[in-house]
Amino acid sequence: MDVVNPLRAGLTGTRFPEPCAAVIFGASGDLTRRKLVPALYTLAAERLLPPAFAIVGFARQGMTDAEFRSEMRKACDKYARHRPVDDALWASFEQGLHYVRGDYDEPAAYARLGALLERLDAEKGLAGNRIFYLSTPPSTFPVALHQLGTAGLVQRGRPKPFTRVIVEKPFGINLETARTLNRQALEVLDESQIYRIDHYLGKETVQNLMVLRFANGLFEPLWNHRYVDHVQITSAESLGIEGRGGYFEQAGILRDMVQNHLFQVLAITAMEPPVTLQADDLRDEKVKVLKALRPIPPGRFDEFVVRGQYGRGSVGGKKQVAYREEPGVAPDSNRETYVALKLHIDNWRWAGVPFYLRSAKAMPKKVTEVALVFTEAPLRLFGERFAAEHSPNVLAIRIQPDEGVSLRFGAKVPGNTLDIQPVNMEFRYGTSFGTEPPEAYERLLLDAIVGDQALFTRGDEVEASWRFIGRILDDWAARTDAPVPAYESGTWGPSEADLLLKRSGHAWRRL
Amino acid sequence: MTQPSREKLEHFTGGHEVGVDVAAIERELSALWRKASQDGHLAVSRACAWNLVFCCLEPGSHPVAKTLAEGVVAAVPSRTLIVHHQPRAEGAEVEAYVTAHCRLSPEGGKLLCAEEITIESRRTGFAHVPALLRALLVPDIPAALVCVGRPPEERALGDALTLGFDQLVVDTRHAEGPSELSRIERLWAKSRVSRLADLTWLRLSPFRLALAGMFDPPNGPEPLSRLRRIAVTCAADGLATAQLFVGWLAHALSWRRLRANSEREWEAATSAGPVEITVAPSTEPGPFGLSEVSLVTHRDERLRLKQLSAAALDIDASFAPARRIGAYAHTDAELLVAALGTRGRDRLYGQALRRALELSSDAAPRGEDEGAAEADR
Repeated sequence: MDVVNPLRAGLTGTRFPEPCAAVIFGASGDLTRRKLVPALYTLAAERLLPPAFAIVGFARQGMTDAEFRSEMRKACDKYARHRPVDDALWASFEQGLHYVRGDYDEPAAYARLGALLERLDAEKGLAGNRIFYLSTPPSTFPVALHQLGTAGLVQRGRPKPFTRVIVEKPFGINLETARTLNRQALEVLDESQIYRIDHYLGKETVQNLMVLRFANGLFEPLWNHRYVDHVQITSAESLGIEGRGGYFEQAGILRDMVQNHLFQVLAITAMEPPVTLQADDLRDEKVKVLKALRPIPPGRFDEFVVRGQYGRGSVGGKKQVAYREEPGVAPDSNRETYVALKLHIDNWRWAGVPFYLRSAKAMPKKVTEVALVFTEAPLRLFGERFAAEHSPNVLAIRIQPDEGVSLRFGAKVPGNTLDIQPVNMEFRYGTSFGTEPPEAYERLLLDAIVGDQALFTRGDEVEASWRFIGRILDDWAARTDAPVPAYESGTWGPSEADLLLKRSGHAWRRL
Repeated sequence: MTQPSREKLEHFTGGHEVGVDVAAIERELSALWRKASQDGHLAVSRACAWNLVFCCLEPGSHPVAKTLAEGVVAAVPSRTLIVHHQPRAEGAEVEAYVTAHCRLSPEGGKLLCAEEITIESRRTGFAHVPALLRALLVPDIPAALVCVGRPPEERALGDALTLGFDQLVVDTRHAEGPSELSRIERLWAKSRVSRLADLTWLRLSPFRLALAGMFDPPNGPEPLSRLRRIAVTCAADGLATAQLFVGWLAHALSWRRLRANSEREWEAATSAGPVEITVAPSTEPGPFGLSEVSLVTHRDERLRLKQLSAAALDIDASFAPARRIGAYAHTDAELLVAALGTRGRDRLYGQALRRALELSSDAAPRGEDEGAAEADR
């Protein structure tokens, strides 16, 4: 926003969002209660929302404004980062909460929505700016987008007043559907109006990965094939599918986690420094990484991809049933709850460096991290005095929980002999800064309001990741009789995944 | 877990050379780490992001500094040095004692968040403080000098001001009028510190942001060019806060001159004519320094910002819908943490301060561009 207001000049650390209305489709759902409205309330409490702002919930369930406000108050009481909710502030915030009942394919509902938005424009001075958040099943995206266009609620390519549409993942279920969805979206919007959310990009430590690389002169010279032996990216969850059998049977972990979250983390880890932090410059570099992924040779997928499915076991001291025993899951299901990939990025920076990605359910603990395992010193001067047989230097970026960065190196053990032990030098966000970072959705919603797309995925990024993942899915679909190894819940996955690394002399980090 | 440990490192009675064994302070701190680890048989890690030097020259400022230090190090692990000078107290000229504050880290090992060294100086003992600070500041870590209480005269701090601090922090909340505000400029000039932060300025943020927001689109900034009257309500002893706020307006709106007709009646010379500014005391000043700001223009456009609670401001304007906005009131410790971050290098503060000083009765008239380079330092 251009600074035409002299009182804004020199104000530090603030972005100045314009007045707008945020319409949440699927407002009766879980995401609205647990994340979206609590995030918006927190932004309001931190004075980050524009003074003129309204939230309209849109869903099939019948509800009055008062009922919606009451539900959202309960949600904020439970999930907002700023608790307890301030009564005086809430009294004002809830005046901006409204509700429209309607079906996603009901033109009359969009007409009602449009009439309400126009009234709110006049009452609150919202200037006609709109953000539409599609917190609905992916199958409804095309319908909702079409109806928004037909009702004139979005205008393609018009910068002011702005209209933006935020879309939740998954964006498509394969390359073809992703392309179709992109095409349908571009019929009513242009790319600058489409915000494909991947909440991993809103996480503090994912952004810290960029800061670590590009704000320090120390690491970037080492961040390449000369010094990095291999990279491990892990996203492990301790929980099972938690009753989402119907969804998971269709999706699987490759679609649910790898195609989006892990590939975004991979892209940020491997990308070249962008020329600026503007959205497209950043996303250009991420797309280059995804386009440089070496396709897995036909017929050799088993050398590069391992999948698994959790069996019975124990996690966190509690019994975990097998995946096939979960509600909504077929007793002979072959859907993967574990996947490990060995990837190569064919560019100058990373030629010859394997990237190992894994994501899984029912792991011993929840952890997401990126680890750069460095090459060993060219000469082992200290030979057997190194306590561990193989202790390369490791730079590990812990994304969750207990976010932070650690560096492992060898240090001399105090004493008269020259013994060397690996030690960790650690920085932990929670114990170093002591302040709570914003929730990912707070950051992402604010970015959408101010029009910053840097932390949202672009259409070509989505298609590039589906292009790679789609070949794996096609191979699995062609070999439905191929066994899916089981792994005991509470372990780190099937032994086949260990072999994936062992062939190259590598091993998974113990997390 | 707090592990107090008091040790007299050197004690000389009057008439002899006064010295403090700096090495003993470091040994004592190391012993504290070992004690912390032995108590629970857990590993102890050291974290230190800042050297924080709290300078307590006023009576009653020492407990304020202790509370502030404890609040800050919860967010920013630091070595804290509290310099407590008592010019008329009996006893040794310089004494020191150490304390460590530990808290549990999520992984179960204790994390040493703060080493606190208190240096008590009495009578002429302050002369030894700069050298002690030089020895005790942790190398390679930035250092901040926090003046607790009203802004001191720069001569009171002596050579302590020129130790190469990275950040100077003051709080002009209770500054007694314009003359004490002008001490800030002198402190800043002598210290040659590149970053100056005033907790009062940070405390004013909600009012400044709320006011600025009223002149964003679609309202627009035009009413600002035809202001006629401004009324500011602040704490009875909060004149400095009102000054800073008006100084900010003067800079942002390019007013030609500020002048104090009396202690609470000021006037701004603007291109559209004079603007009357009145400052009224409030019985309930609230957490932001100001409790209410009202503006009236030559076209009788009106705007009022009023503090409603510790978390909300009410805004009434004749040219925009009434609204209530979040205005989270921060503790002094939280403000200090912010001052140690990016908000501690706000150039706007220097510019607002310079204009605010025009309200000082002993200030010479300033031109619009005069001293701009210094304000931008």
